[in-house]
This record gives sequence, structure tokens and C-alpha cells, in this order.
Amino acid sequence: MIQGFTSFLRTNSGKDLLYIDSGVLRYLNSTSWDPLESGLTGTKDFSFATVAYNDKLYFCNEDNVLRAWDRGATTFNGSMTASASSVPHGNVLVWHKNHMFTLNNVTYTGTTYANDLYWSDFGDPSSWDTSTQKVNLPGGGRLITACDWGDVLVIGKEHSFMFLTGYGDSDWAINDSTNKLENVDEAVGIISPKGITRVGDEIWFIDDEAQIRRLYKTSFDAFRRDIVSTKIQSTLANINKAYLYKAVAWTYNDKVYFAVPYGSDTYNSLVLVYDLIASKRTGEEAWTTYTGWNIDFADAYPTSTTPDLYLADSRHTQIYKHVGYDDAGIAIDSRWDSKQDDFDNPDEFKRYKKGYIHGEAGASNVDVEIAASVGDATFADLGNLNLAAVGGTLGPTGTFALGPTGTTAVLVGSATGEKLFYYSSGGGKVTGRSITHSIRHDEIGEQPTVYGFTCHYGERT
Amino acid sequence: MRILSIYYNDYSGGLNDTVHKRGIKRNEASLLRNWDITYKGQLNRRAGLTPVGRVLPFDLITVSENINITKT
Repeated sequence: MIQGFTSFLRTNSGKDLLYIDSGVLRYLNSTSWDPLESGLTGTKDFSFATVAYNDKLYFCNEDNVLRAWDRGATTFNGSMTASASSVPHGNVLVWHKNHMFTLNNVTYTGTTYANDLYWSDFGDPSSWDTSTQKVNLPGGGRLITACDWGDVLVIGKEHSFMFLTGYGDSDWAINDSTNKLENVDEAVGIISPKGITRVGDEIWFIDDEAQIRRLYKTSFDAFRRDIVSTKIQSTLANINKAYLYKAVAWTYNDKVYFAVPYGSDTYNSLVLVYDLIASKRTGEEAWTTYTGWNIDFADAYPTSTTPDLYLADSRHTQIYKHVGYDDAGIAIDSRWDSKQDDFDNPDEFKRYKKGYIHGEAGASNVDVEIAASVGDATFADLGNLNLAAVGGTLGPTGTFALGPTGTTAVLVGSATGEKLFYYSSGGGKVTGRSITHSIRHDEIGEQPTVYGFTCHYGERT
Repeated sequence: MRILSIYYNDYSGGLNDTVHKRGIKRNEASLLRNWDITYKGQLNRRAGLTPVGRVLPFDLITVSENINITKT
């Protein structure tokens, strides 16, 4: 089982991907995951933090001392710098305002401190003063996680959120008189260390009751919060809360993701996806869901000029890149069901006749299914929108010279298609007060796009 | 009987399973999985997962580093 995954991006443009599994840290060496360090103990997740100013990657958890890697060498069991056991090492590590912070069961010299937060010397993650550079945070449940929020370090506890501000070695000391600690709400907390992510100038997290919330600042720098999951309450009600501590949140490419254990699953088995672009367009929540994914860690990693999303499997030792037409050979079962639509005339019986659906795909030949349910009847299959490539290979096959220079041109094009369907063709009802449409795709080999569709129906005058 | 038509050309509302499917908006979905709704008027099937890298068994790495083969 993967216990940690991260990208390590350096100021000299160097970069690496690393993961920890079964006590071994590995890095991606071209096409193979080569071991860097073994002997890591325990089964708890590791936390990573990249420090840009010294180009080092740090990682630890409560069972393993703080280690640093500068990428100077990749010698197996000879490349890491391990701190002494007297250096605090917890399950969460955050680099914030030139200090390394650690929390969540912080351990040093054989003792574990559940409610204490520690920070390193200014600009030096290897130097810690455990007598002065710490703060005890009792109340509000267990100390779970922290997240950088510009000038503020957001601290998430089981039943509360707090904001830590300060600067320098000594200025982080928190007490009531300086009022640098503010509770958002004693009733709202977090139980997953990885269930929090920064979204622009906001912080999003899945709370201890499996609601998804955001923290934001007003123009007067007051802290506020609200729920952004009001539209998906049925889905949230089916989250396995006993394993909610495994939830993972990340932000990538104008989407916010929450991988959660769903139903009776004890691992993350459903991803809730908030589409920021769609949401900005409507001014409302815009959720979709991804199934077939079991994600424990996520990180962006540039393989060309733009970052790609990499994901670590929660059930198998496997890293994935979020690209391709299928999930490692498994077709992606996609479905969109409309509202049960009475066309704003709920009392009138309609006779559903026909409709058109439009779509587009790439070079492969794929089908998109349209189905309909009249009233509360079961869905009837109305046929497939077939999307096949337009054109084919231009000229002879194989290698040949085209023009004075350049490469061979091949005409394949993308496939746009239109399907005329009849409601009578599926064997289902064609008369009723309301109708629900369904658009489905479950094939390997393509990534189709569906545009609009129409429904033509008759109504008594 | 008059013939009427409805054009569904906006999926931006995304999933709404809080309200009964009769009560949601026309641009919302009562069930939504593995379609992206980023672009107006489009359902884009999400991208997939491609495995990255192969894992050399840990034992092989250890053995190979401990064997010093000299050609005579």
C-alpha cells in the first residue's frame, strides 16, 4: 500500500516523482521506480514538503525521523540526510513562511505529543528548539492537519479550525493576549490530514461530517466559511464516515477533487469533482463524480511545459498519469441523467416522438447511447450516436516524402455525428407527463464529447 | 395536437441529488458520473488513467548491488 507520493520540483528545473511503499522510498528513474531508501517503518502515511530556497525535499511521519534529499545522489540507502530522533517529526509537515511546521502526533526522543505544533528555526528545517518553538493546542478535538494560506497557517482539528499567524522564531508563540489564534467555529473540524486543499485564495476541505466547505477572507480580512456541497447531499450521505479519515483533496486545472470512501468501501472509491469554470459560468455549485478511481495521493508534475496530474492508487502499488481513453485498460462507465422533465406543464400528457443528439470524437469508432424513461418507467435504449472518423489515410501507406521537406501528412480528422432517434424504438412508453433522458458511454478507445440534444413531442391543444 | 420541442444544450449545473429529480433545473443532472461539464453545452468524457513506470522487485535491486561480477 502506498504511504506517500510527491513531486519534487527544483529551482534548476530538475524534477522527480517519488513514492513510499512497504518501507521503501522510490523515485521514477526514466521508466522504472528505483529504490532510494529502505528501512522506513510503520504503516502510517508520510508527509512531504519541498523547500525551494535550499532545493531539498523533506519527509517524515510519527514513526520515522525527518529526512532530507537534495537530489545530489540517487545511491540506494546513501542519498538521504536523516535528522536525529530529537528533531520533532509528526504525520503532517508544512513549509510556511520559511519555517518547517510539523503536527499530528509529533514524536521526538521517544515521546509523542498529540496536541502540540512545532516549528523549525527561521530558514533552517534542520534546526529545532523544542522548548520554545511550539504551541500547545488543547480543545477542539485531535490536532489533524495544517495548510498554508498566504500569511496564515490554517490549523485543522477534529472539531475546530484555527488560524496561526506570526513570523520569525519567537513570534509564533500563541496566547490569548496577542489574539493570534481565532476559532472559526467550534463545531466544524476535519478528520482527514489530506482532506484539505488550497483553491486560489480560499481553503477547501471535507469536514468531520462529510460536508465540503470553503474558508475565505472578506475584503476586511475577516475569516468566513460556507458549504459548497449543498447539491450533492445524497452522495455525501453514502460516504463511509468510519473511514473518512482517508479522504484526499487536491486542486488541479480549475477543478477541486475529493476522493472519499463510498458505501461500504473502506478505501477511497469515489471522487467528487467541483468544476470551477462551470461554477463561475452559472454562479452555482457545479459537481460531477468520477468512479473507478481509488486514489490516496495526488500531485501535479510537469512532463512537458504544463503540469500533468499524477495519482497514487489506494489499493495497489501503482502510480497513474491522468491521461488516456481508459482507466488502465478498463472502460470508463460514464452517464448523465437529466431531470425528470415535465417541460413546465406538469398536468399535460405528452406524446414523445423523436429527437436529435450531436457529438464528436477523435479517430476511433465509438458509440454514445441515448436512453429515456417516460414517467417513472425503466429506461429504454433509444439507439447509439455513432462517432466514426471522417476520412482516412491520405496517399500511400508507410513512409514517403511529401513536398520538399517536412513529415508525412495523414488525414484522419475527428468524427462529428448526429443521431435521429425515436422514442418508440426502445420499446418503452411514449406517452406520459414527464421524461428523463440518459446519455451513456462505456467503451475503450475514445473520449467522446456530446453536444446538445432535442426532444420533439406532441401536446393536446 | 401541436408539436413542440425542447433543446437541451447546457449541462453546467452538474449533479444535483439533493432535490428530487423532478425539482432540479434543466441544466442539472439527477445522476452524473465520468462526464466533465467544463465547457458550455458539452459533456466531455473525462480522461483516463495510464500507469506510470514499472517497479523492479526490491530483491533484485539488492542482489544486483551486492554481486560483483568480474570477467576473467
